[in-house]
Amino acid sequence: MMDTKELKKKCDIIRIDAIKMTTKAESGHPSSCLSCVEIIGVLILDMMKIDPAYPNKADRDRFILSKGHAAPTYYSALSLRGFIPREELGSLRDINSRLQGHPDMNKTPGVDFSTGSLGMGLSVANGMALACRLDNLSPNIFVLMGDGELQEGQVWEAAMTSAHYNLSNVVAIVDRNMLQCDDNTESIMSLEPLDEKFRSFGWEVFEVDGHNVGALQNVLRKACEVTNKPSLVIAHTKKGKGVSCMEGKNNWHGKPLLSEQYEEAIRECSL
Amino acid sequence: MKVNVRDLYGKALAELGDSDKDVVVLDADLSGSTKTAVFGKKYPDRFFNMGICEQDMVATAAGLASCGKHPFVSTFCAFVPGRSFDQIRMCIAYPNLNVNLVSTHGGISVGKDGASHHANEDLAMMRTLPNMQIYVPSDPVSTYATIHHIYNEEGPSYVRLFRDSVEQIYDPNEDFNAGKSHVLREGEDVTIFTCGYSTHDALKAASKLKQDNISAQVIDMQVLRPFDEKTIVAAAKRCGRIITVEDHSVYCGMGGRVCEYLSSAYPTRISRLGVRSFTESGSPKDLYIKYGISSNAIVKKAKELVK
Repeated sequence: MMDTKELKKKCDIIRIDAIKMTTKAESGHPSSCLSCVEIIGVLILDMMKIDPAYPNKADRDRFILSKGHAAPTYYSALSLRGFIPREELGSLRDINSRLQGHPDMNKTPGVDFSTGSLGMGLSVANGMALACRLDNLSPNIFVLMGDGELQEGQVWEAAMTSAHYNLSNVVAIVDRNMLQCDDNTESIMSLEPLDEKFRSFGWEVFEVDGHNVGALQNVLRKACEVTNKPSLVIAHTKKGKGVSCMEGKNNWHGKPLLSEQYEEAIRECSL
Repeated sequence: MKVNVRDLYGKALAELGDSDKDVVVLDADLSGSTKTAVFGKKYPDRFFNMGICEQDMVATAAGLASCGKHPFVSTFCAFVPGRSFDQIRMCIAYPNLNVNLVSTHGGISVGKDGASHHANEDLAMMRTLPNMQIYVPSDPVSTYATIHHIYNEEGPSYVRLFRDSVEQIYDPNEDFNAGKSHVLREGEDVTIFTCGYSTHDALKAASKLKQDNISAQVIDMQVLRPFDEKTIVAAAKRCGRIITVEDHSVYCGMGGRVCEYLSSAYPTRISRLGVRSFTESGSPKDLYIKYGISSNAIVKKAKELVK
């Protein structure tokens, strides 16, 4: 387990990377990237058994970013883990870049599956878990979903499948930032009681402060130890975390920062 | 003797399961009809009944493929691709994964279940997807060969099968090449391009036309991608008059594909027969007559062209 302080520092780098990348690209979803910095940072930099020297090892842990619009956070974490050169991060969303607007498994080293259309990641994770079971392997299969995307019916089909096939090495995390594109999730299409819904589908459910690195390290370890059912971690987060002009605010989905906001954001996140 | 092509699918699948332990099969509660149950009975550990969840099934298959498994996915054509197009696009075609989609009950030959179950748009949808190979076999021999063929080809594929039993067209004692189109009958006056269930009516039409001294060439377009350009151009050059007939929407199916290609490669007059509206319940025979893809409809069109 990585030292929590050291991991926190790396998460601070990811946060600044995500802001820089989307501002330079003049497009992207910085607010969605910032709510899952710690979740992705803890997974990629601490939890996952992966090795950039052998990116296709059959028994490696897998990660599916079902909320594919948080790709910059993912790419930054992969760069810190040695899968992508740091200097490549600036090419996000450029023509001929390996860093697509949403993750592409055939372009970016370390990306386990292509995503971007919402609600599909959990099904893919189940397929990976079934394949590994047939090969007598049991790596952890992590999947990060946005809260808004839980409105997709396919998520609930997949939630049934994980439990039906008893895929206990599937660990799903929900980035519960409470905001979707148009407004608060509870005013658009309410998701609560989310914990009860998943429990009734046969899942073990955990809750955590999704910005607390130490707490995430602990809860994800516990989720990986569950052996009789799939696990869901509801990570309570803030959309735009760390940048005061967007933190917890509506109307920021899919909007990069303007240059004066950018200067202020970098200053805030560098403190 | 009439044979159900789906039985040949079940047989081929079980054989692939025997020889390759990475072959896995997914179905959405229709395994008795699609015949994947044959595999499921033999290899229960590698058979996943996903329930009536086509979107989840398709994306789960993609996850299996990304870890080195070789999935075959089956349900009715109305549901894959009908109900799961974005999952096919996003999780299978875009990452170019080794997933074989074999759907059954295509077209209006499904009959009495009616319009809700007549998949007339599946080829159109699949044609828009890069990387996707597309097959529409017409008889037991070509169906069996196609299943073995797609297993050996890299990348995703879609195979469209139909419900009704049919006569054999190809000789079971000869090797069938599933990767190309096949000239079933030579002719000089008009070429009939067809595929799948309609192939049987095209052959019937050619026999009827012969009685009126019209010589019709019949070509089984059993693979739409990769597209057999050589055979198509040769046929167009030979007759100069073309009819396409398919148990599918006239829009964006096999006939559309032939038109798109010949409009630049060898512009030729083409008449397309296919479904042009939503349909209804009825026997396959009655539906074929009412919706204009019967052997008589082909004969009528051929006479108009040759006149």
